[in-house]
Amino acid sequence: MKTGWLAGLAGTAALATACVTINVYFPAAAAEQAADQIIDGVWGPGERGRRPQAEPQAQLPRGFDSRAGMRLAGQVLDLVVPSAHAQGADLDISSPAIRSIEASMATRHQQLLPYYETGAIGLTGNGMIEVRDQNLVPLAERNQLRRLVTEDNADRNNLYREIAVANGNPQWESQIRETFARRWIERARDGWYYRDGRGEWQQK
Amino acid sequence: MIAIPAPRPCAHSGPAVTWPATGLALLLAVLPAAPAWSAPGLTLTLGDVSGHGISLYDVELALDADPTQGGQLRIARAQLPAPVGQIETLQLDCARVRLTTRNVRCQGGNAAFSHGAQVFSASPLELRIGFDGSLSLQFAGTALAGGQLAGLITRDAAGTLQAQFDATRLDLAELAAFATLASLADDGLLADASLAGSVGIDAQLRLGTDGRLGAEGHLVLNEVTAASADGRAASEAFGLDLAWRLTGFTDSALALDLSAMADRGQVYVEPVFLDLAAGPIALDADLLVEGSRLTLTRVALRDGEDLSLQARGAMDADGSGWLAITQLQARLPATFERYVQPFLLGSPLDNLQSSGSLSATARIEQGRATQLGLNLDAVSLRTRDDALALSSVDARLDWRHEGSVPTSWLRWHDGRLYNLALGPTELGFTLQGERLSAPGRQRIPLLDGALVLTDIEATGLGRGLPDFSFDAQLEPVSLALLTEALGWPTMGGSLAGVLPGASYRDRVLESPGELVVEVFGGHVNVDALRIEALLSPLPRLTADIVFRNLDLEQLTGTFAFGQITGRLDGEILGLRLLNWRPSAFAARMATPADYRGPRRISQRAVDNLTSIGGGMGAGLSGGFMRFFDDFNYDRLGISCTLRNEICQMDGVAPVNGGYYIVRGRGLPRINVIGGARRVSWPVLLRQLASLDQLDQAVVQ
Repeated sequence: MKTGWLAGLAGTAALATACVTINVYFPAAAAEQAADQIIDGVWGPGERGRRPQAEPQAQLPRGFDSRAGMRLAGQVLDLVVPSAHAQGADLDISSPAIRSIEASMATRHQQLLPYYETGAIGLTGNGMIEVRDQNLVPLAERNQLRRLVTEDNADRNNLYREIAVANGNPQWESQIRETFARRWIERARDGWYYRDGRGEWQQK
Repeated sequence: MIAIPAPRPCAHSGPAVTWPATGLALLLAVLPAAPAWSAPGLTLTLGDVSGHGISLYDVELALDADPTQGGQLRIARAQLPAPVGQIETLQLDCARVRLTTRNVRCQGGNAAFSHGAQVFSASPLELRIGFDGSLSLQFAGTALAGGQLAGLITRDAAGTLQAQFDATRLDLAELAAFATLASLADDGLLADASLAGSVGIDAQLRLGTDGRLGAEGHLVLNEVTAASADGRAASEAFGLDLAWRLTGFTDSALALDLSAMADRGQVYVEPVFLDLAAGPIALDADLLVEGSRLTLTRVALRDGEDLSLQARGAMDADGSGWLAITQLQARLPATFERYVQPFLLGSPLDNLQSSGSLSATARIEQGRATQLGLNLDAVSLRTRDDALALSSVDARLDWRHEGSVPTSWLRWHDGRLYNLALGPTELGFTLQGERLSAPGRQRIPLLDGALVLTDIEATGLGRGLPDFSFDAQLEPVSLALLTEALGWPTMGGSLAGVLPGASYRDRVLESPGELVVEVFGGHVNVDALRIEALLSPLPRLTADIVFRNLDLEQLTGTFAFGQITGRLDGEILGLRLLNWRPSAFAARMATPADYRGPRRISQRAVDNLTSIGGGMGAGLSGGFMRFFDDFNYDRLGISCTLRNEICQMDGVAPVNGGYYIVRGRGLPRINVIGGARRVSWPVLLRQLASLDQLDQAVVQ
């Protein structure tokens, strides 16, 4: 008891005098994997094959017992019905919201693809896309392209935030965005444009 | 007139004598009297001549020994008024020079000069200069900017000037390189811009000595394909016909009437795109120029059948002025899609579909709108995803920059918000400056209840999306109708609530108030309600929900779950719906520990509680327990904390590493015990859905 009390006092003193640093571990490798998986989904698989998505499978708790003698052991049922798999250090991107954003971006990508290829649009350093040269776009398509870019960027903002929120760390949003920004550019096809660190357009 | 002192001729063979700078007319007037025409040739060196904003440098006139056989006028450099500017090495060759007592004529002439890097020539050319001050210059077939220029300029002895020009198919790119457009390029306006196409201009002009001017002509643009460097303005194969007429006095008032029709090609001025081939645009304008003041007497613009606009206005050289759109008639959706929607990209209104018609007026002073009026007539509005729809919308909106404002109103006959029927509504409000205010109650019928908004205030009307604040009250809406509209199992009861201090800001709707749902004999309180990105593809709702004293008998009856009697308390905290689907919450519900009323659970409810587990739980009906209809229970409850699609589960008490979902009481006793702590939420939802089907099958 006495030592515990002393330790508590020492702890309080340490708190009062020391600077407390809280390190929040950002799973950078997992974020990169998650980004690649979504980029595969949106752009189609690149040189890497698509990773199968781990889907947790489990069922409701079940079983009952009765004092009258009928006792179905919960443990037995639990063997039949596996629990959900632990997620480990992975960054989970399986929520319906994230999947629906990915699906919406994948559909839109088919419309955006010709504009990436002509250089009319390019990837920015903050994980968004931008119209690079309107003069490469027929007049009648310009507003449609502006709409596609606006909608895609709305999806991108939602994607980065939802991944952070779904993994219980909303403060990771900017790191997730950075990870994605880097991977979008690294995975961009030859001939596509992106903004480099100084904000200048470069062609891959 | 250009004044010159008497020139002194000199023999070509003799030493050259240069006269002081003089003028052309007097020189020519003097010529007939000059001696030494018999000389083999004659060169007059006139030096520099200037006057009327024109300066000629190193003027030299050379005549053959027999002047009727030809002559030559050379000017090293000439400075002419804008837009021509400086021209160089001007040379006029005349095949024949005719000299009479009344005039001198140059016939079969050929003029050549260079302007910048370009060399121009005009041929054949006839020039007649009368000694009475009259003048005539005619030229045909002058190559100019890839096209042809022909002209006739005459001035009679009294000084009346008449001119005719006809320029056909001038190349715009060459024209742009020519003259002052080149200086605009330096200003960046046309830097790196591309321009191709042709222009044809014809003009007739008459200018009397009294300053009376009469001029008219046409301008035709064809196949104009142009783009600014940033691509924000561009045209493709654009074509325009313009007729103009200018009348009045140069020193007092000039009236300009324009009539233009653009019916070829396409134009894009970010963000507006016009396909003129599909929908020609016509403009008629009457302007009056008095000194530095420009008055728009009448402007009429017509975009096919979709838009017509009438305007008046005035502008001074200092930029001050006003413009009044006296009438604007527009048909929806064409006008909205063409001129309004492109500006709303990314806002909740950018996916609005409309039909009907509108009319509007506006007044703009010193470049700023001061007054707007808008009438909507039988307009229907609908978001593309059908989240919001209003039909038979009529409105009279009056906006003033300042001062007193008439009341605006907007009404609709019926509508729909996320499939919930909205009844006939009339909203009254005022629009002034950046503010909308609607003091008092605005009642919007919703199903069999109503949403009452009180003291609506909005600021930032000039911005894309204003901020709204209001007090909201929901008059009781029957749950039967609400659940039916939402496609949920029909529930009895009602939904009502008060949301004071609600706001809609940065696309976030929130309120510190509370919604109260009176249902199943108890009540459900919805707290900390916040909806982000309403009417976007991914709306997000967060709320805390607490429910107390729900009658389980009514609840289970509603969901055909099998009967349970007793009461239920619970809460769903940190509820987060993404696109109206739960993505996170901490839910906990249980019978209150202190409830001492009847607590019975039917065999079917037990079956259902277990069969949710995958259809294997029909255990009860198989054993001898099937002889009992229902059982007593002590407590029942379940909790689920949803995160990452995983439901972390618990019950009312721990048992053998698991937890009680139902803890039985008395004999025969039945317990339902949960084992799994982590359950996949999608699987759970699928099982609940199949349970619903199972029940429907039972009902049938």
